[in-house]
Amino acid sequence: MAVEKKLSPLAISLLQPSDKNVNVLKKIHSQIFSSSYQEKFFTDSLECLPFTSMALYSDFAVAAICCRLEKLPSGKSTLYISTLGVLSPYRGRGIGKKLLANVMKLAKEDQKIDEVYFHVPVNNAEATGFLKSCGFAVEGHRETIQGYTDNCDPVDCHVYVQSVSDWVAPEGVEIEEI
Amino acid sequence: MMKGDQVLPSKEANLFKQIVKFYETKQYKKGIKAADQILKKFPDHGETLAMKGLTLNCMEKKEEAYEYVLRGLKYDMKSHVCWHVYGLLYRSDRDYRQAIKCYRNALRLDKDNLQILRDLSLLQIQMRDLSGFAETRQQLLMLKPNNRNNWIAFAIAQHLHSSYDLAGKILMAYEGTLEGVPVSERYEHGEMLLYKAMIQEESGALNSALESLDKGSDQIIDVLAAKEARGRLLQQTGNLTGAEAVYRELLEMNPDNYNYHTGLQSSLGTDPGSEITPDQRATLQAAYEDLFEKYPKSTGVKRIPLNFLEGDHFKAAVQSYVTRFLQKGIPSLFSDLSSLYVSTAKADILEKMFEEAVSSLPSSDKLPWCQGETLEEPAVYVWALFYLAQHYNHRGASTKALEKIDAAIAHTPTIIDFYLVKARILNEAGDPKAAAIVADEGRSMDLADRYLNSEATKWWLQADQVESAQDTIALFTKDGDQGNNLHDMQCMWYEVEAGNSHLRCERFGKALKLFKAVAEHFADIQEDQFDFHSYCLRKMTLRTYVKLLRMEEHLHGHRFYCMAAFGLVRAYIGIYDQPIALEGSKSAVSAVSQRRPSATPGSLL
Repeated sequence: MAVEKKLSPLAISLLQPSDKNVNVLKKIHSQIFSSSYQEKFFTDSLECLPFTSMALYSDFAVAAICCRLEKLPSGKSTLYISTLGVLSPYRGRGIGKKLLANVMKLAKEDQKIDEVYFHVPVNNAEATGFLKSCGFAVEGHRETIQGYTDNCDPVDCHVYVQSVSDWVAPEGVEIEEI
Repeated sequence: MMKGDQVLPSKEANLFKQIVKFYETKQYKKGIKAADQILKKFPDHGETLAMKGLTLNCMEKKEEAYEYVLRGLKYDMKSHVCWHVYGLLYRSDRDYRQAIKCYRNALRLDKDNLQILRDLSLLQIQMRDLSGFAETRQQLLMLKPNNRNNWIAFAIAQHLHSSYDLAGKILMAYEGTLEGVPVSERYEHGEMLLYKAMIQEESGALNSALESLDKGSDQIIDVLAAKEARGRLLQQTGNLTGAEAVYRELLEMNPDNYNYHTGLQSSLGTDPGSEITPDQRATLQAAYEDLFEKYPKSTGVKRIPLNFLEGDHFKAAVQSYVTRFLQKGIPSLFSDLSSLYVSTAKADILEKMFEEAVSSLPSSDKLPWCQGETLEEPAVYVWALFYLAQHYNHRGASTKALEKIDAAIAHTPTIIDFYLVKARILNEAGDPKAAAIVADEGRSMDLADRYLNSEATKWWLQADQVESAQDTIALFTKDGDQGNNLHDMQCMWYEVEAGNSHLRCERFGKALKLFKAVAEHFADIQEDQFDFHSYCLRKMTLRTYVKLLRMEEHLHGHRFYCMAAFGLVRAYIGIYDQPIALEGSKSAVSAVSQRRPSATPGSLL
């Protein structure tokens, strides 16, 4: 970008996907991610409500966050964030941040969840900055997986883990209820 | 048969009264029992036989019903009861002409029977026997002048008969008989006054109508209707200043009612819908600038000037008009503006405007005509693209239209309206199959949306994919019983579209069935007015009632009826022209001889 434009955040509301509009979720994924997601990915994500959600801007969806709840032997659960994507024209306006913060807020309210984790491709430099701005401790990743293939093409990934209790919401991520 | 034979002793006479009561209270089984009791002793009693028949008719035993009623009539031709019952039987079969004949016979025997007269009047108005209706209503009024409804109904009869003067006089005479209006009937009285003004207006007695409205102003409850009538009347009498004042008051109540705008424009000396002079244009422009000051939130006040403004004035107005639509992402912008396209100059201006917007938005985030530093949100660009796609499609430039809609979908693939517009473009470009696939893609993105479901169904039918259409529409019908359900809901767009698709595929029988279903709906709609003849009178909704009658008279001019009628004719011709299978079987030959005569054009009519 030649000239840095000052873009104001966009107002959004949340929409929980259901079997009635799961195709919108699929559209967002096929538009944003190069790898193709299988049916199973979406059924799993739909089972993880209210964490999995879409962002509505005016009255159409422009972004989505998909999650999966993994049960631990201790009886507790870990929340895995599988995808987070914003349609390109709507990026840089705080939408992804709001979606992620909302998931963290929900996880904090859930007694069973201590940790949230996710994979970030090693070559994705933007991601670290984004995570930092979302209040994540990104000093170190837990491990690096070579050729990670969870519903996507093989790619080397860092695994990031965020403790729920340590997370503090950054400013300006409240979603106004309509 | 002597009349004397038909007189029952008092015990049986009482029983007979019971039968009538049982019939009226729908206790049919008890009615039959009582009738049988009389018939055991007097098997030839005509009126009892007739009443038993009438009761059986309500128990869905039609054949037996006719049998009994006819037997009753045979034994007692001189009984008005038997004739009345016979008429009721025909009426329940919707054979009104026969029913009228029966009632007339009944009245010959008992000329002042109020019940029969009332029933007859209902049939006469239903059949639009206007002079007969007027006669019957006059008779009823003379028999019972203290009943309000009889006055009103007689006035309606004269009004429908175009005897405006008489109709007005009847209402005035009726008013004269009133000694004050009870509070509980104030609304009805007001309606009567408004109806009187309506009759006067239609007769051309405009000043009398105005006078009636003025005189009744403190008794009329529907103030809005009275005001609207005043505006119209002042306009027609040439009192433009008066009309203008009234229309301004009405706009104060609702600045988005287009009728008021039309009224105001005429009172300002312009005829909406015809060419206007530059002077008139200047007058209107000034008036609307003034209205805009007063009602800045009204969409109508902003939209209407686009119709009469030209050139740079138009450009400035339309720019500010579309800005709000684009910023709010209102998908209907194009259909709102499409009526402007009768003017090529305006269409050209719009084309240039939107092209400029689409090329400047991605880099500047600004609409070219907007001053100031505010940056537009990203959706403004995609809505402008969406508009251009429809614009080019409207002007017949399919390729450009497709280009724009594809760009819009690539930008934001989650806006479902885009898929519907793309389907329309593809269909108009001559590829209905591709259109259906795109529309179905849109539908799949919100399975809870009936509108999307119907749109997809429509495009499947346009593509002659009847099975896909049936599967799709069945998603929103009850229990998968889609055929009956759609028929019960009088879903005519589907029946017409599906019929046309069958026609294109030469399945004439199936087409015939669907088009006939549409014709049946219209028969039902016509039939449905029957209840209103008495209801509207009772409720005194007289203006609306007269409008209903007039609507019913033009019912068969409705778009769906016309489409179904054309379809029916085509289907019959198709059947007539269809080559007969030449398998040499006898049945094929006999099929020819059976079919040909029945399908001659004469039998269509």
